[in-house]
Amino acid sequence: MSRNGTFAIAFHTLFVAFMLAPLVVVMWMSLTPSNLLSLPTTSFSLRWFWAILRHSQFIDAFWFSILLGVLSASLAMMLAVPAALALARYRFPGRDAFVALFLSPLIIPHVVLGVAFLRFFTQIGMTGTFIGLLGAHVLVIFPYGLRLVLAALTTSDPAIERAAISLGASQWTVFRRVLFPLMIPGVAGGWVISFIQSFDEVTMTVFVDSVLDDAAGAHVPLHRGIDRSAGGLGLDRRHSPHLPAHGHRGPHLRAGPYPGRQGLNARPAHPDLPRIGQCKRSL
Amino acid sequence: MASPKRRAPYLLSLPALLFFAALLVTPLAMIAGLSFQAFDLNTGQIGGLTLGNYADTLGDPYYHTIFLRTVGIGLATTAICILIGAPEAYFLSRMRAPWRSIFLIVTLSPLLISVVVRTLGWALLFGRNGVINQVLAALGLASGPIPMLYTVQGVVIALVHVAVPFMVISVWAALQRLDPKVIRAASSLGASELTIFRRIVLPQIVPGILSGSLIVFALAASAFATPAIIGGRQLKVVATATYDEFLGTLNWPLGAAIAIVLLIVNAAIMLTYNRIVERRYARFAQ
Repeated sequence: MSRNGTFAIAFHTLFVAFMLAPLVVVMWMSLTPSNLLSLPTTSFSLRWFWAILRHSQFIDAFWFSILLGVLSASLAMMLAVPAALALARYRFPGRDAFVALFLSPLIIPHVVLGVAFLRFFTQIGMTGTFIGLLGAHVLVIFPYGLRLVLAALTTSDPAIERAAISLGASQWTVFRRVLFPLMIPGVAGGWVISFIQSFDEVTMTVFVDSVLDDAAGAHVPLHRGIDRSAGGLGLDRRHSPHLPAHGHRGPHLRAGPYPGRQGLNARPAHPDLPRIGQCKRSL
Repeated sequence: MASPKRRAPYLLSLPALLFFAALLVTPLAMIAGLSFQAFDLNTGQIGGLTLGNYADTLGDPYYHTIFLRTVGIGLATTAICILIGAPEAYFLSRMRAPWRSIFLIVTLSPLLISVVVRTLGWALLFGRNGVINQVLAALGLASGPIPMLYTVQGVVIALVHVAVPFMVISVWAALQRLDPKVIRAASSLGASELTIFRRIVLPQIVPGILSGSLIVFALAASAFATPAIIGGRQLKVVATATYDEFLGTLNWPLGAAIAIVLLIVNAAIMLTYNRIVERRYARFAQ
């Protein structure tokens, strides 16, 4: 195969620099001792990593995200496995419609889903419940899990199952001894992808969660997407009462409007408009 | 004997169907219903049927700007992703053994890191005293700070970073089906590198580019976190405008109408595009 020329190498170098730049900056920032990102810097410190450990809300948020991810990925797989069996092993009227429905969360913008959940949970009085948030996550990650199980099933040979049945195995035995072992890679892969999707889901969670905060007054996890990383420290500086944020001099994090709930609550609301909690009652 | 067999697929998909009926169909139907209700700005009361929210959304120049900006950002992001993602996938495919997998992982690794963290990185790079402006000032290349945060360009750059891995994956998948013998034949017949790319590689990866574009456009047009952080309060897109109606001004019916329009526009663009691509490139898919 022909080798890459100078242009290709230069292009590739720039591309990799582009891909890594923001990640490097976040990591770098997490290691600087001062409140500002100063250039050039000579000193490094783990100060902000200790700050994470001192602020229990970050630790709580982290475990909450893990719990939510594990539960929603497991539930999504429990729903996806039988559905995938139906879609992969049977041809039946309405099959295409089922596929379209099950994959539709992929093409619906998450803002729309977030808004819909917010309205739905308000109407049925499940605002701010963990069950509601869990259900919302399961729905969003379901298509990812389904696709991986489907892929595992469609690449395996149905003749093996027929052979098992012809040898007198019951439906349950076929599932347990033949189908399930064949599905395991797909199920495991689907679970991991689902977990990552749940862990990373911000947009929809912001909507479902914003009410959670107001209704329950719970001061639980902020920035589900950020909290697991040292980069979240950029925000820690802003939120921490002991560390004055020099928003006007440093990186303009302070000006970011809604990286999470803090931004939302901090926003000066219209004084004559009801807060969400009150509005909910009037709806 | 036939009856249980016929019922089996429905029984198997029943749990998922019930779940989707409860948590997808019902909320979407509710939001659609809400979008037709009137909202009193003074009392915050909701009631009465109206088309006013759609009239506001579709007739108000303020929302026109937001919708056009969203589509523009989506198109610009898609175009840049094609321009840098497709060549990068091609160069990656021509690398030798260890490098190829290493750089493929480097390209895809941002997918495993939260969008918020990556956007935060861009915010740090873009600020008035951010890394880019400091470097430019130190090199004497810029007389003053170049505004990047809170600009459309900034949002597009950050969105390209979020979306370009999907373009690389799509083109990469198309390149895997390419027969290296054809390239060797062309090269033995005296074709230059550029000719080979233009006449042999490009036509075969077009389906990959098109399906990648679909993903990139959908991601960019419905992105929320990136425009919210990089674009700020002034530079609204549809997603952040919906958020503001719901959680800022609390005009839920109007927010619902904007969300429904976004949903319809997004679905229409994706389905039309998909249909065109399928029709034109059916012969490529064997």
